[in-house]
Amino acid sequence: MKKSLYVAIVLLAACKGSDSSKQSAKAGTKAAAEDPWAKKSASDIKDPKLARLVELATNGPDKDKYPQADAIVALEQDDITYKSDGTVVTKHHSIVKLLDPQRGKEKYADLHIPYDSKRETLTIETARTVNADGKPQVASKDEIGDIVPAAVADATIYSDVRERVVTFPAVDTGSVLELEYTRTTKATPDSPLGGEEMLAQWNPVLERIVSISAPAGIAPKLAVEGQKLEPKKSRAGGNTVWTYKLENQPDRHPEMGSLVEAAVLPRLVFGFQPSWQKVVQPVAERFLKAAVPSPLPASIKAEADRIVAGATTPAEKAQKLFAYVAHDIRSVELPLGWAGYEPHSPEVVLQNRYADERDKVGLLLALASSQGISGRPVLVRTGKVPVVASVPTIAQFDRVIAKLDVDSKEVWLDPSDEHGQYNVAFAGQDNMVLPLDKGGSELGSRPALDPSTSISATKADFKLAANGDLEATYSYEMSGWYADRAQSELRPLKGELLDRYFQKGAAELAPTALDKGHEVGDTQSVTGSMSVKQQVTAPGYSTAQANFRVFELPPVTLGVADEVPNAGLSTRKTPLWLGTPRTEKGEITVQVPSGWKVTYVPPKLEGKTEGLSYSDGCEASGQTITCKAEIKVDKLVVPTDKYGAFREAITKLQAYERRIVLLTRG
Amino acid sequence: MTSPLALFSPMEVNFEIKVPNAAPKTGDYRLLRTVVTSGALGLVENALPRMIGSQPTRKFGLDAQLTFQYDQNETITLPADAKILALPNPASSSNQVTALSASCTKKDATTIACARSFQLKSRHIDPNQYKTLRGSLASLTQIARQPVILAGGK
Repeated sequence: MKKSLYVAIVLLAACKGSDSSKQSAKAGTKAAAEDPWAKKSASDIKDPKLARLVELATNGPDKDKYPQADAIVALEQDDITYKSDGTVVTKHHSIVKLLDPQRGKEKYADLHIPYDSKRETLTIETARTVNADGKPQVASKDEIGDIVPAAVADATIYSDVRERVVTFPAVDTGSVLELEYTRTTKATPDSPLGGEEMLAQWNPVLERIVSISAPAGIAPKLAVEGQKLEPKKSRAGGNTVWTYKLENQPDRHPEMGSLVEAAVLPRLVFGFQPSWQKVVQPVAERFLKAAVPSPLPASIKAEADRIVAGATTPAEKAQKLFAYVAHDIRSVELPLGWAGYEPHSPEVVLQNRYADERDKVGLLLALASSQGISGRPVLVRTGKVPVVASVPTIAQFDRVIAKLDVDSKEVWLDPSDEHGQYNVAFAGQDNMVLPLDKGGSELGSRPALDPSTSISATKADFKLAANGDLEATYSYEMSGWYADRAQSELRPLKGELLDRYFQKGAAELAPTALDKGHEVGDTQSVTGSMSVKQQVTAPGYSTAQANFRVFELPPVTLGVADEVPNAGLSTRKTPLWLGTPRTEKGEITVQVPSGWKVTYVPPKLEGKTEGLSYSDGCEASGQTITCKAEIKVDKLVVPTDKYGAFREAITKLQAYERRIVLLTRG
Repeated sequence: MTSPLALFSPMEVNFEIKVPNAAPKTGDYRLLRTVVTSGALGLVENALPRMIGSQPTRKFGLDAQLTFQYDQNETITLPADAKILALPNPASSSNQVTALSASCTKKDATTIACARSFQLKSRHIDPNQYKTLRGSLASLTQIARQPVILAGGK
């Protein structure tokens, strides 16, 4: 039986084999007739759009011309049409040739296009790949699908937001990818009626076209930032069309510490509203009506009363409410505008215990209002990307924060920052902002934070033994931005994990250094300084070399307490991002063992340059060395033309001879 | 730089760097950090101690993912009027897990030769061997903080 079954299988296999041989033979004949190795010539193809792709795949520019580029963007075109009913239609068309198999694929071959299924429709018209053989490979329905973005996967009230994922087939080096889609945004009272289009990418762009079309009687506001470029005006189908075109843009590369793309590369900002008043009115009205309904629900008042229990002043109440919304309501990182601008009711947010930034600001305003503290949401732009005052549209803003009136003072709060500090909101500094006040009509401005709002003060005592062992005691006091970073690092750590964290910090001194103890202050506090203390021993830290001993002043063990801007590049093409204004202070004492004499300590150094002022130096008295340092970062950005002086200052401050003490025997 | 994709020959990187004020004046002396013994070139010196050696003890064995060896040699030529007062201390050790040696020697009045070699012999390191590994890494960084000490000069 077994034998007959075996024979049957062998026969079946033989038959199958003969079938497949025939199929191969057929395929071979067909293939021979078509000659798959023969490249199609673009001139043989009747479809001009396909011919363009084939020409690019076979004869287009390649690595020889752009050796460092990931891809060449042959075309990026966006045609934006404002319709008389307020609908905005955007037609996108892009053609990209991949040059780098890894980075090119990462950037262009697997696209995630976000859209709000409640307000927008998104239709993919073309998604195809053309390789050197000239045959288009169209993305199948399995290669185009909708997913819920990871950020809102656990937040069902935002599940209208989707991402259309397009995975291009048959992609390799030299592949040309073409994508066409249409996005239609319905007219809603809080629709942005405007937007921002980048006119360049880091990769070379051969042709970039943006057209703005509007019916007669509508005069869109337009501004190009970062480059001088005038539109060509024309008429089409009763509409006026403004067309911006840029050609043969070079390959460029971001630099370490660059600002975001919108602040560095050219962009077009457009809006279809005539004034900021027209922008603010509908959005403010809907935001405030939803977030702070009148009368306030009893549950909001009750919850606010519970939170502020024990607080006696408006400032204490505001601090407790801010801490509650920042810490106890989970932040959902949904970019502003992806799901509109109108928040959910505070009751819903309170029930869910999670919220995006609109809803967090809304809940904070409602809770504050129940305690007699007024406030408003404020739209801001982060990353020092200038808000263009001449183009009224809320699409220019990427964050919303809150401004409360507490004891006749303005208090800026960012409740989406789960480690944020009271009245130290980083988003939107040194830029124009848009307060959403009832009856509000204009932009405001927000200055940069003062460096005194974020201070890191470190005291370190070092005791050097005759055998070179070191005992170190660190005491850190951090406020503002430093407290935010410290809480972000330390709040999740307890017990053994916290011990490991501090041991890793101790190893900054030497691999054999040991954490001998640490204390961490309140990681939930939103005011004042956060304190951290640590003791470290480092055996053999500074051993003698003949009659000399070089003592390298040890670094801090808590990385979040020390953030001097990096000036590693010798020159820059783009400005350097410094981050929020801040101050670092250091006080060091070193006890030198007897039998050793202090021969050299870093002398006093003081200076000031764009964005930075500093003073640093040590003094020796007998066996004790004391050092004091203060570095103040007072700007968010160093312009390119001031970078040289800035780098010189940082280089001086971090020079080897400023980090060492020289001892001699005697 | 030779191709990183050439699998059967070592990758070579050749470059020149100019370090202004490489031996800064510190009072009556000058301190010269050598490129080799300071560990300025090596990813190993920068990353390894903190990556795998920061905890004092381990409950479980460590998988370092690889074994490796590196050798570095450096010749320093000093100005004719320079006077060498002290060199970095030599170090040498060998055990089941690692082998290392680092030294600088004065070849003549104005020439110093420095060499440094490190081997990680075992990819899998048990908790006892881990202590030995930490000791070796400590030697490396200790020497890295020791410069060549020269008389001040002009």
